[in-house]
Amino acid sequence: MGRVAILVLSGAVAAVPVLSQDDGLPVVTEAQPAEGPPAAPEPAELWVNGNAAYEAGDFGRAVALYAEMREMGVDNGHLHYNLGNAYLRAGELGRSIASYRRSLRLLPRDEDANANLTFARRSARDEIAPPEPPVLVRTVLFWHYSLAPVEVLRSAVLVGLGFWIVLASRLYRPASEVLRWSAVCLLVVGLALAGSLVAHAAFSSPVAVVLPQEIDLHAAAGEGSVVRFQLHAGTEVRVIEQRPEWVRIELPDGERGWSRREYLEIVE
Amino acid sequence: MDPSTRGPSLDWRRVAALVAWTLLLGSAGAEAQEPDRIQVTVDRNQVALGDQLYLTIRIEGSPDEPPGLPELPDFRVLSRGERRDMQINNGRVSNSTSYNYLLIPTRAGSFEIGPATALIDGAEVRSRPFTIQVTGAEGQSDEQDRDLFVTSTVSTDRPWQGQQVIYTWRFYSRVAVGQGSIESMDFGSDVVVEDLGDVRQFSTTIDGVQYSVNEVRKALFPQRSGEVTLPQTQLRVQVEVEQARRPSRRRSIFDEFDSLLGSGGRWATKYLLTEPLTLDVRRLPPAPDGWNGLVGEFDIQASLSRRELQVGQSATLEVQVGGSGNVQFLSEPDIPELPAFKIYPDQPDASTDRSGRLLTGRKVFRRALVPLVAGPLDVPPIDLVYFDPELGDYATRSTERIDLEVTPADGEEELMLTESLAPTTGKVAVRILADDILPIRRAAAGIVSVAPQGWRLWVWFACGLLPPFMYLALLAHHRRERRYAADRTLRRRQRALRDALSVSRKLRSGAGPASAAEASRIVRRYVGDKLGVEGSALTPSEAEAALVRAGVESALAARCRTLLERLEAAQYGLAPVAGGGGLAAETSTEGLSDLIKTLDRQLRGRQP
Repeated sequence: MGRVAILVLSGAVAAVPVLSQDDGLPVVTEAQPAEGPPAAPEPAELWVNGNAAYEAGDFGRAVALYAEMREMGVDNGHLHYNLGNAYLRAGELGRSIASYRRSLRLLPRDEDANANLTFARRSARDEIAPPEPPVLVRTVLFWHYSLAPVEVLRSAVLVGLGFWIVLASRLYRPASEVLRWSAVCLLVVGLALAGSLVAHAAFSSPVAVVLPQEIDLHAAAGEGSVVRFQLHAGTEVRVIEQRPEWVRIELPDGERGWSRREYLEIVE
Repeated sequence: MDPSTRGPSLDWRRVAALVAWTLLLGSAGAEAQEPDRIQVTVDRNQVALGDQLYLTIRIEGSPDEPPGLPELPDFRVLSRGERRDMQINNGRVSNSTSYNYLLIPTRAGSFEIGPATALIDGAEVRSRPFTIQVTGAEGQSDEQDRDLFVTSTVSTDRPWQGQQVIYTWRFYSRVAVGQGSIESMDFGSDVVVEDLGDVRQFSTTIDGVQYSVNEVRKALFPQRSGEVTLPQTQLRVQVEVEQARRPSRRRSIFDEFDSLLGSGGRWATKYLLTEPLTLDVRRLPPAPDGWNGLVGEFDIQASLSRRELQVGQSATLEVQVGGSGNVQFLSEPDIPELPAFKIYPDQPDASTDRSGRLLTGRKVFRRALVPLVAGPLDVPPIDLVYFDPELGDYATRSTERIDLEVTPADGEEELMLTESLAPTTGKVAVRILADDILPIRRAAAGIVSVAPQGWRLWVWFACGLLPPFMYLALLAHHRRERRYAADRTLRRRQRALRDALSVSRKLRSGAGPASAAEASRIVRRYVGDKLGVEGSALTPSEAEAALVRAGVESALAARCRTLLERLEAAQYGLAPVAGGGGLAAETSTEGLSDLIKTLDRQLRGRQP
């Protein structure tokens, strides 16, 4: 076997399967104890088996394995990307679009996820633009839209650290212009990143994706209320209010309606 | 014998008869007092198709679970909730539960409503079956005599595959109606549906009766040949039944107020169903070359913006394709080869009109033509092939040939144009044949969570919050060092008390000259540090004077001087320390600490 990459995961070295790559195809070699009940599959094993199921055309099983990884707490853009592919192949347009959106939230500059999301959106029936900010806003606040929240957090911490180090250095070299302007630049960048973090945490509006082929949007939260309009699978709308069983959404033209929660997948 | 004397035999017969009647009535009464524990009732047992009836299942007591409905294949069943009742009769409490359902008949006939079942206290009980008559529209009355009804029609029931079929749904009413909604108008996957405008409202008269009409129109395009069924369309509408019940009563002024305030009548929900329609879709004959799926009536026109131009100048060729039919298939017709021109395609303009009786559309394709050679040139006719349902065959429309005159360009410009266009002549744009999603990821990054969790999250928080505090601590240290550097006695002044107390704690016990010398050194050093002078060189009198100048009360300064004098005497053997007027107590750790703290309190704040 050519290249061997061993993944050491914290705290569970013995139970973790070894991922081996040969010509790009991962292979799982079991590292299970010989006795006792079978251990629960590890994320690495689910990942490899999910990919194999996808390649074999068993998209339902691939979805189940990827979803199990999510339940185990694994959360990254690559997993959501594969999940989106599996959902799309399985014919679940709404869930695939939701997964691609989650993938892009964690990997905002991922061109593959963007391309697949565009491809999936072409299958949506409603001619409704997805809830995205205007191009001008995206251009001006480029760091907010091109960095994942976790990247913003890490950048903010590192820039903050640099700012305080530069500020501390100025105590001993107060006349240095380089240090002064460095501190000013780092302060501006840090404030921009901190603002982005606050915006991610407090002002980001969740988006809902329609799951069934067709749903009714009611004037009020109740089956008996008037059906105002209908939406179809894959349509993305902005969520403005959530209740245990009902969700209120808004279309780009301002029209609002209530839908049962199970008909929507909400991407926070 | 006196009849009265034969009375007893007659009385016995009467008594026996009375007892028999009593027993009979008693048993009947007992049967009457034991009602069915489950009862199924309807508000009426004869109903017209299009109307609805209410079915109630009443169960005495508390059922273990909701009742099982009888089989009702000829009705649409909608639940209308449940109600619990409690009654108190002669101190006896009884309760019952009523389950309400709305039944909408889907066809006419006589139907037996089978027994409903329920589980009460672990035992299954069943209701009694009964019969319901559903009369058709013709059975109830003539359609035109009804207050409200719906119809659906199609423009043709034998269309060709892909032909436009106009589906018209109408709701006729001559009574006040409230809110209404079409609950199902689904034509299935065999038919492509396009809306034709909004809901139209108008009035019409049928056999002298005026109706208000709501009309919905759709353009249907059957996608396969054979029999295609258009299912029933159901309308739910609120109808004012109070007006219908009292048509002959004259309306009073109060009725007008009631109507104005919206409380004039009682409203009921009606469900109206259309009849299903069947289309016999005909298969299209084999298609000729150039046909791209158009079925209907279409036309094609072509025009050129300029007929006279020079080599290198451009003219716009505009090809318009339009008509009525399946306009979704409108695409650019095959334009013949134009080797004498350099062609620049443009984005087409498309428009669809849904406001008329038919779905019509038009698409305009534009191309910029730049002639490469001089002389008389032409744009050949452009053909459009479509299937004409009226003819039952394919038809072809063609544009007229467009002639144009191209003159040579001015010298150099012509040469440059020819040179620049030559390498690209004959090239075609890349055509995307099919598209698909990009493949899945395999990298091990897919099993790692990107968001920091657990202790890693705390590390990030610490990295974010600690630097400012560390900077503040560094800033304080830096400023203190600068103050020490500016005032060399400051550090001694600030540390005088702490150093004196620290040394006094180590003072050796005893009353010898060594202890006296040590205590004297502690006091002198404290005074020297605090006042910024050399303490060991101070005499008792100088120490007193310096303390008084520093703001210490004279009594305390005198006490300090006296102590130092006595310590000097003890140090050099001039007077015993032990028992020497309390000198031992004053030179103890506690005594010295007390004196130094008292001095410090008075010196604090008075020092510069």
